[in-house]
Amino acid sequence: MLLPQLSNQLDSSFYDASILLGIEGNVGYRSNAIENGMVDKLLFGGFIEDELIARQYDRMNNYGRLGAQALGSFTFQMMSDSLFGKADWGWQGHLQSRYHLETYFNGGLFQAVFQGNGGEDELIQAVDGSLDYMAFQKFGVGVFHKPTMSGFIISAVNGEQFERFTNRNATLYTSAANDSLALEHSIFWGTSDTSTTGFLSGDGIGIALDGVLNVPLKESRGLVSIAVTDFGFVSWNESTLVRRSTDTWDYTGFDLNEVLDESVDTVLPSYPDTLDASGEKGKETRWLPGRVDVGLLHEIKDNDFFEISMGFRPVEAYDPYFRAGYLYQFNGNTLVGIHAATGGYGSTRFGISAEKWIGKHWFAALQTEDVFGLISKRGLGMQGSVRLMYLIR
Amino acid sequence: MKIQNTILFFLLVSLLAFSCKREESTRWEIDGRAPIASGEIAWEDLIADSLLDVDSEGLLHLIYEQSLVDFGLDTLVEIADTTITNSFDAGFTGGPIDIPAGQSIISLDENINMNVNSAELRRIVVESGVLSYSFKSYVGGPLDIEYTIPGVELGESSFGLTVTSEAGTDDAPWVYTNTVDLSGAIIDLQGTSGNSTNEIATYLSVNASSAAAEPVAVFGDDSVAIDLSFIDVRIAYGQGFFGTIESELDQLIDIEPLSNIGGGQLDLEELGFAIDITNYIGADAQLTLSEIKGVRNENEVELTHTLINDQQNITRAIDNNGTVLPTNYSFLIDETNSNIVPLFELLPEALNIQGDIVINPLGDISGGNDFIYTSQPLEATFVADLPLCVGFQGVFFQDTLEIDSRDEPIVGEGLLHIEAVNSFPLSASITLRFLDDNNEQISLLLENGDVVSSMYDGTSYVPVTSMFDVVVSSEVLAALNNANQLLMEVVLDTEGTELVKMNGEEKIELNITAEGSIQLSYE
Repeated sequence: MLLPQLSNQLDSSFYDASILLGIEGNVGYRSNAIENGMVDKLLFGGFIEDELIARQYDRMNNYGRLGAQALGSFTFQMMSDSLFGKADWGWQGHLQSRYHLETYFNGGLFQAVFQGNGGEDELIQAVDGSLDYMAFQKFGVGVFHKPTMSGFIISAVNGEQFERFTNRNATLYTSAANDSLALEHSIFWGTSDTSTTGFLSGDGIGIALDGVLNVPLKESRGLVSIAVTDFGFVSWNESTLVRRSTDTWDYTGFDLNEVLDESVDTVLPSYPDTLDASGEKGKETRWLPGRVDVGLLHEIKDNDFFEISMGFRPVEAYDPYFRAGYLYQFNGNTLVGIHAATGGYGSTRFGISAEKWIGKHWFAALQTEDVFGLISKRGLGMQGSVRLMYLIR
Repeated sequence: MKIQNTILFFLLVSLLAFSCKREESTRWEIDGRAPIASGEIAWEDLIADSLLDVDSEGLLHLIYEQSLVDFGLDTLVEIADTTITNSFDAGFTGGPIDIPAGQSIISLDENINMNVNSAELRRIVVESGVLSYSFKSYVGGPLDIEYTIPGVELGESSFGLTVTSEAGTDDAPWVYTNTVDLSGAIIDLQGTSGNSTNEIATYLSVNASSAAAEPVAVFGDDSVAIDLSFIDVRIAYGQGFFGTIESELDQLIDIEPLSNIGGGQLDLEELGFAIDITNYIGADAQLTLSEIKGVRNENEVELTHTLINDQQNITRAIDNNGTVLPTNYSFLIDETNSNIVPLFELLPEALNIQGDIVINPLGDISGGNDFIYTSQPLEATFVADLPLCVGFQGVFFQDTLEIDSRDEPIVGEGLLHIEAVNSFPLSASITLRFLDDNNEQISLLLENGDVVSSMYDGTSYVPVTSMFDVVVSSEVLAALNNANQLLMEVVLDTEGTELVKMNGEEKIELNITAEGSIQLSYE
């Protein structure tokens, strides 16, 4: 939310409010290779044509990434109360529920799954990949600095569910004679307690820090901000199941003698069962999907601004994120913007945003990071967020 | 109001987002290749190890033993469930008469006739069974009742029961019931006289209870009733005279190693076939085999040998204090004295045995000392020793493999590559068919896939590799989706007319792989 800090017109009324209430929803996914058309079929069914699969593979440039999240939050900021006698400081807090998924896979894994292992010669496909999913809720309180809206919140975290699958240094070998398949792998597969599922299921507890530091530039011509989001961890309970396997699984087909022996049931080897057998239950601590953002917002003239920002997440699936935008303010209460972003889970995309003060109580902000993605099946993601604030005076 | 509208808007958006449902599965096609099956098929995979033996000259033999006749206890002696209901009264009319305490009211010996078939048994040992009994007293005072069956030995003592009844009435008699396990019981069936058969001696004594405080008033029509049942009595040992029993034999005996063969012609040089008769029964017998036929489909070959229609007198076994010394008879039937080779060249699925057997043809010459132990009957077995120096002419095996039902149909097409390294001196032609529920062919997967015979290099047979492809079209896969069985037919032939010697080391190494496109899906 840029506007309160930049709007001279609303400055006084905004800071005169007693309580600032807000709700926010943010839903989206992004990939560097997987188009909306493919995601649509993966989620809702349909036949995925070879051409579509080939195009995803070509886009991949060795590695595919995809991230998705859904976020809902409620925030409050006590504008009128002082904090231990300091009038510039106030209490704030939030309730937040977040669902976060990210996956990272190399071209060999994508090819093996969606194109197969066809050919005539010996084939060795590198099939590394990972998938992380976490759902959690935060209940936090903190303080904020009213003039700059800087502050932090420390939250208790309820771990609803996590699932983490990684397979490193993995290769799928197909012999030239087609008589042998071998999957060399190093698998980690962790799953939170499956006996209780759903919202607020309480399979883990943790702590998180969210904070933002806004540093105004001279003469209020802009600000530099540094934000930390979801910096923390969840300790998942003792029913968390972790399986590990570093091995090579060979498959040479059915044993003909078993096939011909009617007294023996012929079954395919069940490697997942082998993996399950390695499972151990116990507590497991996992980082939240946190991130750090650094940005600069600067006035160009009286009513227009530019912004640049960077975001980081120290995981394979997430590249450094860069964003640049131009914002224009109408009448002191409406701000529209266009943005270009690259990195993160995806490639370059262009988005738009709009923020508006409606009367003296309401503030609304809408934003999408990828306009093309909203309208095209060839888009590489979809995203949208909405934020509403209400000032109690 | 504005807040409420906003919340409603978000609820609607959320509902729309989460109410999207999958209308169809997600599907895509991959080009894949994978091993399907591999392994070695050797003799022991075709015929049980226990039936194979290699002789000193390195020639493999198929040796098969099967019972021809099993003439056991059930045929000779059988005890059906036996139930006796007796009512005993005081032996006078009118009354009441006061009977002083301890004075006898009823005292008698009686035989129970066991429900035995034609045998005249003197003694048996029970393998299993129960004795169930019930006493009823209609006497209006306490009685001492003693009931014994001295001929039924349970452990170290004979069966006996002493109970004191309470007063009964016509409408509400005193009742006592119990059951005794007879397993292991030795039962003397010679009755109270000690020289009859199929009878069990019993003794009943009824006194006015010695503990009665006053005389027991007994009416003439007061009675004591006993219900006694021998139930499910199975015999471990029986002694007596089993009677003269004549039985006809008409049995069709499967020859399991040959039952998977669908047809064709086997060329044999020699074959050993022996019929062994062992009599563990303490009774003489006469056995006449009137016909032994090899049967395959509509074809039959009748055995010609001096044994046929020749009455064999089989003398009784001797019971040496529980150790049975049987009598043995053996008849060797081979290519020199019979037509056993042509009979087996037919590849018979079964042997049809006809004849008759007479037990105790001369009557009770043992003086009632016939015996039998259940586990040791009179038996006749045959042993076929088939040296596998053979020629195969269109010998036809077939087998069906069950195909598990699938939730999702398999969609795709491709090739199955089959590689066979054959060291059998036989060529094989393989046909694979998909069958439906009614065993009707719904698709032909492979017709006459040829596996070439191994080659003789002058000293031994050298394995030869055969490779062929099976086209698995989308139609064939569609058929697989409806199939319940895969029928495999194999036709075996040896080269020329020379017989080939099997040494037991022969095998086919099979390797089946697949490549093609296949549709993957998930719901």
